[in-house]
Amino acid sequence: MRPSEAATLARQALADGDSTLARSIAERLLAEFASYPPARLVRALLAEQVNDSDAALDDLRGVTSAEPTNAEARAAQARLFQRRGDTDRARMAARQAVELIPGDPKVLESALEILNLEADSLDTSAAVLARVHLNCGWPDLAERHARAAVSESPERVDVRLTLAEALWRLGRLSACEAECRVVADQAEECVRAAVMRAHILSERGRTAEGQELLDRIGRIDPEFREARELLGILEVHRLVLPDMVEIALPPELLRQSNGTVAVAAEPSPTDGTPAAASPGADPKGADSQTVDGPEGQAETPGESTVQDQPTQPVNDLPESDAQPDAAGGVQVTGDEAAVASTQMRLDETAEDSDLPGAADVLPEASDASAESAEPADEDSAGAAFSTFDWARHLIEQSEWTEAERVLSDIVTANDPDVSRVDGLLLEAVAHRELRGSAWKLLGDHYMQTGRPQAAADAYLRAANVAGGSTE
Amino acid sequence: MTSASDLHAGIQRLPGITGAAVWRIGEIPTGDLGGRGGSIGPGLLSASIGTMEQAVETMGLGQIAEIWFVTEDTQCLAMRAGQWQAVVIGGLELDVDGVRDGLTSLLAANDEPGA
Repeated sequence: MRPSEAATLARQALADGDSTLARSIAERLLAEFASYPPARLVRALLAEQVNDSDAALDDLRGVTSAEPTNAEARAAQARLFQRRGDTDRARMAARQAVELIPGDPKVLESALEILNLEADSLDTSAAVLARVHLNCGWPDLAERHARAAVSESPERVDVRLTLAEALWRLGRLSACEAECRVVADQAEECVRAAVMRAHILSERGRTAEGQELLDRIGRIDPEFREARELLGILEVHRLVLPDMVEIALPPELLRQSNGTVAVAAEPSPTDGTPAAASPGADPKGADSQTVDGPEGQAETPGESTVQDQPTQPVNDLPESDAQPDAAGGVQVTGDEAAVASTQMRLDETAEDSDLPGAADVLPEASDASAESAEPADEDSAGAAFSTFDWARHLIEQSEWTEAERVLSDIVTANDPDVSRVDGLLLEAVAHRELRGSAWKLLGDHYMQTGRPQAAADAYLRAANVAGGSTE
Repeated sequence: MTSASDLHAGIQRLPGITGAAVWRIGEIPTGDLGGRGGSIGPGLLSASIGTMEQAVETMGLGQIAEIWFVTEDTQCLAMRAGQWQAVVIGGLELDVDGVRDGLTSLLAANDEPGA
């Protein structure tokens, strides 16, 4: 069963008032995919039901980090803040939920209730216009309004993500990359920003790195839904969408949910083609893009040459007797599900990976069962895509030029966490290839933070490195 | 809001100036010193003057408003006005008084309290 189908079962159980089943399925999902947003959202809603606002807010933070434009999560945050008496934050989150144009009327009603507004008295903000235009496939207009929205609310990560996506659709990849970095600093697990960055890397000829980043996304979005949606817009691209994984629900959970996945779960695409482009997809793809900057033609996404790999159909899974039913879904018995659970384990990938934190991304999935499923440990679950992690990753990969560029961006951004920047730059000076530039950046950073004496020392070291290389 | 690069362009137009660096407090010095010190030059000179300012303040002598020094072929003037700081260099023929006046009015004109 696909994780999204299991999540749909959990939502159904929640709607039917069967909290135990909803929790069991959510926990089972989280045991396998520790940051899976739909499962975390279910768990947050369950915590909200029992007034455990700390746990609920914690999960919602995870959901909005991975999906900053998740209106339902924002609305739930608003309700929880309201319940805590934190009216300002409640209204802010509710405003955000409304401006994300939720498709579910209940989410909209919930947010409007907190704002104490009728739907027809809502004003049209730049953030709303940006989303509307993006959804309509007008990225140029979306960009204009998103820029206005960003200047009004620079702290709003959802707005910045909209801007990044508009730029990406316009083919302005360098500008998009810069916005994605800002998004990733605020929402470390943001899947959409990571997909765009992966694509940008591949367009610059660094396909392996882009692919690696895309693979990491699978730990948060195991079905690569957002990647399929975004990359589906492009005519061609160089990235290979990994096979979708399956999850085995224990027989007792399947029995409780009537044993028929297809009844409650939405049909899953089994033909291997990427999901259809979103309504906002620019059908022209690269046609409307401009080429600027040193990347030249690599700035134009549509000029790539390789299409994505088809998804493995469910009934092609080895050793699986799963048969499609009349509705196109799959009848999964408990035994078959148990077999499926051993077929695709993400922890194998995690162990093999040398990415920072990759090995501890997932708990032991092999013995994951409903009985042993524990809530995922947040600290060990992070498949973060922050600029800092990215810089470290580039340094590890000996990508000196790109690392220098990212470090320079970090210094220019003037992160308020001074010691974090200090630490990163001091790590960088340990590498001979980066030494000169890292000392200079450290000097710049010290100047920004009012430490001229340390800055003078760093600049002198940079000058010495430059002198040494000249000699 | 005036950008440091705009201000730098204005300072470079002052007579006799061969290099300049300018920055707002809490920002990175920008500019060039006519090739002296390469890309590190503006930062290094600014940081060194900042170190001297810090020492003077630590000694309780107050805040330096300007520093002038001369070497065998160069004159250097560093000034502070509001949020802005600037370091300029020129040859021995540089009219320091004229540059001081020009620089003071430029920095003051572009100072935005609270910026």
